Amino acid sequence: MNRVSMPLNRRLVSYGQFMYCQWLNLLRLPAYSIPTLVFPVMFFAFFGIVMNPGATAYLLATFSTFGVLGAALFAFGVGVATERAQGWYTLIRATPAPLAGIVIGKWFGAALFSAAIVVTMCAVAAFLGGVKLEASQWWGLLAVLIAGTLPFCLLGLGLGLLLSPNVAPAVINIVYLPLAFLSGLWVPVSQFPGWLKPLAPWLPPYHLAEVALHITGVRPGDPWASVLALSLFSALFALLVVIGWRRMLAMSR
Amino acid sequence: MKSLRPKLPLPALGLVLVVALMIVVMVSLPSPQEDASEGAAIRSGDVLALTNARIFDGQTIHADATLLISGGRIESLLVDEPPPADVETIDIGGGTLLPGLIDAHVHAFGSARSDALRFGVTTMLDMFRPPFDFDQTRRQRESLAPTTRADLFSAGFLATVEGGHGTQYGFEVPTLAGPEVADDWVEARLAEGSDYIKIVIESGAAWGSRLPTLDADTVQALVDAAQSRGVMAVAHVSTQAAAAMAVEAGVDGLVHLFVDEALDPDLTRRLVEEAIFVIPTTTVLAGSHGRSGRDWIESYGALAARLSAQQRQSLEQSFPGSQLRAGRWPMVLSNLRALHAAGVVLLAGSDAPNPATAYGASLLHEIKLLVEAGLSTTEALQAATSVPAERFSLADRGCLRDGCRADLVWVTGDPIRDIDALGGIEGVWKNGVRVAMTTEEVVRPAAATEAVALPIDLHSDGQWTASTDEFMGGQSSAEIVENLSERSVDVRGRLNPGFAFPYAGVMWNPGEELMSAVNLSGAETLSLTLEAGSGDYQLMIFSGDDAAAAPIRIDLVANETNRIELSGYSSLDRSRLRAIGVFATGPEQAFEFTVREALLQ
Repeated sequence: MNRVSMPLNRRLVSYGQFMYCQWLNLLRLPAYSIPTLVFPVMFFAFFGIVMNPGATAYLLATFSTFGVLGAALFAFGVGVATERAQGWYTLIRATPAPLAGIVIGKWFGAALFSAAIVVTMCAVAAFLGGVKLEASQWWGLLAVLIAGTLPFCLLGLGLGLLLSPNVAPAVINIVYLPLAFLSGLWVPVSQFPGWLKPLAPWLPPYHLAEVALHITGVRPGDPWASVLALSLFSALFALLVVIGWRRMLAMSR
Repeated sequence: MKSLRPKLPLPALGLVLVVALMIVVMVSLPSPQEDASEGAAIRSGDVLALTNARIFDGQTIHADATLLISGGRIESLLVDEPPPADVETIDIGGGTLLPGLIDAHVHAFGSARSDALRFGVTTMLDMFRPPFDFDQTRRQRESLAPTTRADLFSAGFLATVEGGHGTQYGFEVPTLAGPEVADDWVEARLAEGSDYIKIVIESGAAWGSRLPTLDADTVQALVDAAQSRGVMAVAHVSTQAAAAMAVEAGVDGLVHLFVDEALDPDLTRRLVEEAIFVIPTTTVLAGSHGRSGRDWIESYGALAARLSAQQRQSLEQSFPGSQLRAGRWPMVLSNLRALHAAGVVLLAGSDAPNPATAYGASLLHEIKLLVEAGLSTTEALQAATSVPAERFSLADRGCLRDGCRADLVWVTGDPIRDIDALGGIEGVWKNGVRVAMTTEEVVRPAAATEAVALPIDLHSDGQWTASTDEFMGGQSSAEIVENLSERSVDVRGRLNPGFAFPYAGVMWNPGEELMSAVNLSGAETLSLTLEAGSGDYQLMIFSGDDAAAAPIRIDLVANETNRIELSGYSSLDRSRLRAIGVFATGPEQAFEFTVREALLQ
């Protein structure tokens, strides 16, 4: 912001260190990491394999969307709110470390988590559910879902910056679970009662699931409308982040 | 901080390990296997000679001929020439070789493609299925690798309106709101991989119901949009008015013969002059008019033995109200005769897996019915080989000439002399490799639970409950008015639109819990008397391992004693009988009926 800018290579090293620290953070908080990883996979195993064996390929796309949605919202929303309250960011501001490193580190954590969730679900779908996809589809699903964490990272970050640490987990849960359900991540939108169906296209996870379904071949046609919708949502949430960021800077001053 | 890197501490190693592990898992995820691998050994350039055969090449017959196959294609057709000496030879023993058959109207679900292949159908023209795997089906049909499945061409999604025919099957179908969206709609189908465009013109009028359907402008716009992109447009019709609308729009073909009225000579003339083909789907129409092809198929033990559970299930179903329409059948048949006599191009298609049809087997029945409708045996065989190949531009199919695909059928008799010889299929080759003729299904042994003693009076303990299509998302209603122990059950309700085939009525549960399985393996017949007004009534019997499995549906005759021979339904698992339902079915109306003297013995 108002400081002397750091040379690029130093800056990159610093980002790398932030990312690495995030990994250490995950490693040292297994009580957080493991449930976040296991929960959506377990959910998928119950609903996607045991309960609806015929729909495994469909549910793979929607449940992995569900998984990365959670990883992004919690890493950012709850994590940022807590660390902000602990004064960690004020401390970082006092060091030469670039503040953007916080976001990059957190994003790395969320992406790593998302990757782990998607890979595990793919393995469960393939080896327990008999799903077979082309290699390009498996990798495409992984890539789309990692990239697709962007709007949810921004949403989580915005909420984390604006909410107090006591409130954040509750609010994130209230956002997370209904968002997942209403976007058709557990039950396809086509099975919704008629009055509920029109809501889904207004929710970002619906569009990420659409792109994921397109990759796995369930949803033919162009996914570009959904990609556009996701970009618009990202822009909207970025605005939320800017507001939260400014407020944080103003408050700690 | 600096000391972190040179040492590469444990956590950093862990990160590398986690990422590496993820990559390993991703790389080891399975891909859809091409059938190629296992057959690779047979593949090579080896020549196979089929000698001592009568060969129908798709057009004409050649006596005393030999067919040479290599690399998945016909290398040559030798007539009155000795076969080469040093090649692998199969003696056809004076039997007949036909090109692999083409079923010009199917809906390929589940095991369709392998089920059809056992009956000599090597190519299927699908007329509506979700386009989820079209990259794969296209690759497979272009390949000459050995395969255990018939090749598939498909219309993909069908063109219909919201709530129209085709939207009732439980998956989303992109519908059209008017002519202005036709271009985009067709473009989207072609992007999905549709091979041709199927347009539904179905008002329900021929079946006693009312459905929203496409208007003439939209049909016209769809036909134009398809044909301007070099793709065929075909139409589903069931009334002569719909057929006229399709012809007016310039479709390439009709995928059903209409059933509502006698043929108008003007329409016939236009079909001939404009070379519009008709896929009459006689076998499914016969089924919907109380004339199932089941008896004909089952009269050939070898055919019957080859039916999978899925095939038996669809073959043993009946259309609601099919018996009531039986009176109309002679007219339908005479329309078909008149079309053929006038020179309209007919293609064989079964519309499997609709009720009373089975993949593959029903195409054989279709050919038989075409002969009954006046086609010569040669013409009927052409209608299942060279004619669909020509009309759908399938260059190397439906023929047994040099360069054609080595898709062929061996029947022991002579179908040119007697079409029933089709019942005697001895072998099928797909891409030059002989196909296994038995299903790989394991027949489930009967339940080990103790069989319940018979006879059972279904009224003895009042285990009747009202039941409707609400369970399937429908909106029909039913209530039991009176349930007299040891006498009768009286039910009334209302059929409402909502589910594809609305039904409402009562269900008898053999167990204490709803739909729990009870061993009634000794039950040979079910008899019951149905007192009811006009309308269609069906018996549905639920059985088997899976309570959600589709029931057997059998038409009931009102105001008569119905006797159903349960042993005649092989897809019924009497050792796991779950429920017996008596239902009113059909279009929106109120109903009231009484079931009495229901007895299992």
